[in-house]
Amino acid sequence: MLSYIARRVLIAIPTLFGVATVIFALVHLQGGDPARVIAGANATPEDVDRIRHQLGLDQPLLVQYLIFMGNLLRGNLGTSVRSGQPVFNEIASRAPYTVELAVISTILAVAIGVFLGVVAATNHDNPIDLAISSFSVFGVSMPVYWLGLLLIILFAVNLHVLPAAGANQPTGFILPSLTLAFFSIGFIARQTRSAMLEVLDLDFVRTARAKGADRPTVLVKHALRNALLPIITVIGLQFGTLLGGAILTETIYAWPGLGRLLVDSIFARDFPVVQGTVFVFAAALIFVNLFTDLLYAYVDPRIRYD
Amino acid sequence: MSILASGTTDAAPLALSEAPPQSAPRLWRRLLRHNSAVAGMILLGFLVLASLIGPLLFRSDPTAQDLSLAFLPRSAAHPLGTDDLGRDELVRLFFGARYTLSLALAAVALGLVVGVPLGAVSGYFGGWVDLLVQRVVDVMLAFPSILLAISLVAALGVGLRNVIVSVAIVAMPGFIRLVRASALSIREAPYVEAARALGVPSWRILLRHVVPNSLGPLIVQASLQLGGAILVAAGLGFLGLGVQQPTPEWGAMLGFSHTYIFSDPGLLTYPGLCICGAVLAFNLLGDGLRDALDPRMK
Repeated sequence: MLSYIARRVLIAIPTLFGVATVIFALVHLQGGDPARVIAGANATPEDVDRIRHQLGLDQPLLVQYLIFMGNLLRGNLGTSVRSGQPVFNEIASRAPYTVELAVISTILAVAIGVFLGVVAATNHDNPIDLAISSFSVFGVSMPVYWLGLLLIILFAVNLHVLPAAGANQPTGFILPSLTLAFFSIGFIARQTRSAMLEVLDLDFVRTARAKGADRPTVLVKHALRNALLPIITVIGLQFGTLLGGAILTETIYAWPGLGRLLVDSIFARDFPVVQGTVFVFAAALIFVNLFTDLLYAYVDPRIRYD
Repeated sequence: MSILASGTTDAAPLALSEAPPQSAPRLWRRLLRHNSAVAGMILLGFLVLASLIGPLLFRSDPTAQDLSLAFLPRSAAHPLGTDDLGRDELVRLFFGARYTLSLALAAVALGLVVGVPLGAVSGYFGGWVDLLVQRVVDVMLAFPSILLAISLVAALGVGLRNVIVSVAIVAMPGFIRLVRASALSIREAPYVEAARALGVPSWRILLRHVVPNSLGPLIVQASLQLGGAILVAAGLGFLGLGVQQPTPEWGAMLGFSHTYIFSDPGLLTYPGLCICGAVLAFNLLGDGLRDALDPRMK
């Protein structure tokens, strides 16, 4: 087991390295002079020179790359052009808001999604299944940015029960979390339904029924436990969408998380912050995928570790 | 994202189980018996029709501004009212259908043109080519798809061409993985070995056997990716990083209506409904295609 964990972690390292390289390349992809782009249209040549020197853009490309990677290894993500603060501090102050949204929506999505999936599977091909399946495909097709606006109109503009934006009020997290969870609810419900349908057809479930085990026991102890493996994979798979959705959701609700920091920094051409935020998002996704892989191996005794 | 990734995992087993080639009429019959496929095709047909005929019905310019006509309610002259710059909302939605559908088609086509050969070569030849391609795919998949698109547009600059390129790059890893899995599964198959023994050149084996073998799952994946491409492209437009004003692109229309959420909520209902409908159409069609192409389904 330990060597399996070690190998999985080792595979993640070149990916992280590749991600860092892509992020370094982003600044140089645009052709033209990055210092001029960052400085903006109204900058004097002195400003451009100052920024070029400040960001080390006057060095040869290879030197810049090595410095970038070296700094990254030491946890140094550079300095924000806009605020003059270390990028690391900016990210650290915003990250808890995004983590809060991600954790709440994941819990919501797993609870509701698995429940809906099980109910749909046990009502296979009757109106309840049809209703849940339609809701699920609707859930995965709904643009998160539109759902967010609709929820604001309903709960903030018409009903006046929840705040439309911001993290200042204690109920402020409710609408963004719901918005973010919607896709995952549909996605998890779909996968749970098909995983359950497959398991419910198997011999051991029929045996359990035949020997007189009651319905809830068969469903939870026999069927759901065995359907859990594909569900774990799905929770890892939807996490990428969840992170991407957070960028849009935070923009709609003026939620002060990493997604909003990213979008604001793009418009402000604050490239060090853009690079840092993108890196943190990608690293989080790599980490969660690694974690679900390991969890999968831990839960499924059939997977061999060598 | 992932709606894009979801297609990959679901379609993979299909690629491995060697599906008997299906005739087109048979596929049609199975599709027509499939409720969600029919619903998807109707929805899609409606959108295509709207994008082709809609702009002809109303011969008005979707970008011409007239501030004296701003925020008009629904009327016979303007069935869905007008927006903040006095432009007819319905006409803009019709033109938006053209932009959205052709943008998604172009991006997915570009993704296929680059992704399919890469996946086929990677899986068929193996070795260091495979290793290299797969590490690159790993890195691409490490980014949430909308984030990858945002980063690319932030670097390349906004505008229609860069949005297409970015969305194509987002769609690519799914195609590469899928064709590679299929190539791996038939690389040692007797008929491929026979072709090799007869001296058939590799490119011909790739073209005649490897790519056709993955055609079924590829069609499913392409349909799902079209839905994903619309979501991502409209998301970019919504953030102001996609197709720029005054182009009537649905995502950008939604983004600009955000300002008028309290005064004119209708402006953000219609474009949102259109995006959702288009994505739904491709997802339903993709589901139907998957079931119709699945040899295990009776």
